[in-house]
Amino acid sequence: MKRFFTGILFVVTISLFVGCSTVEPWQKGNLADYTMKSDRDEIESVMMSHVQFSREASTGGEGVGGGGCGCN
Amino acid sequence: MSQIRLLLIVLSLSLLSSLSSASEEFSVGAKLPPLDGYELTGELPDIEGKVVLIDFWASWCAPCKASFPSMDEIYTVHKDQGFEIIAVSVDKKQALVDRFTQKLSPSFSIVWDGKQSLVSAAKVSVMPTSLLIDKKGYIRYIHIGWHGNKSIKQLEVELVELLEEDV
Repeated sequence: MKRFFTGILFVVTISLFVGCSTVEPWQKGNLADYTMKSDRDEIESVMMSHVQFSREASTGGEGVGGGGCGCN
Repeated sequence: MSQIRLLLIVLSLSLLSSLSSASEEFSVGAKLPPLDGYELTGELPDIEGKVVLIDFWASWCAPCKASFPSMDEIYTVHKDQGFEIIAVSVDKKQALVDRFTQKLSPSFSIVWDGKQSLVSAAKVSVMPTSLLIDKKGYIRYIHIGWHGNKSIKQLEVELVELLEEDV
């Protein structure tokens, strides 16, 4: 019986102290901040996609015309 | 066997307690609790016997920004019929609220829920969320999110219905 209650106590304690927490909708100010955007620098984004398309030979993959040579 | 059942009950209860659900205090059909108990910064208008829209917004929320001009228009049309809008900002800094309101200059009331006590009590699931309160102070409709023309039309229909009701 003692073992059983120790088990219950263990499970309840674990469920109460789990590391997960929910970010409520009204707490998302920091997540919505401009600095949290991965593509906030437009010039860098263009350059990175040009490099990627050239390396992957996939120019036109984003809807831009081209033959995959990476020369445009 | 009964011990396993007991263990399952305890587990279910602890799981249920950790899940957040919509606030019953701020659900449709509930009487709106007095707003002065939530440490809101800004002047609350007199809402006695009026139809009130309580709108939860934030300066970082794009749909909230989009909703302001339309809400301002609706407010201008219906304010003389006994309609009030209380826009509750949930921003963490008052400067953000001031900058936002200076830019859009709405004609309805803006209050700041700096401690996020009202929004926490209301447990809104989406930003923006607005509660439409009838003349008797009961929550009649809850709008989740802002969907442009669809939201405007819905709000107009509900507003006309509530404004026609007796106190």
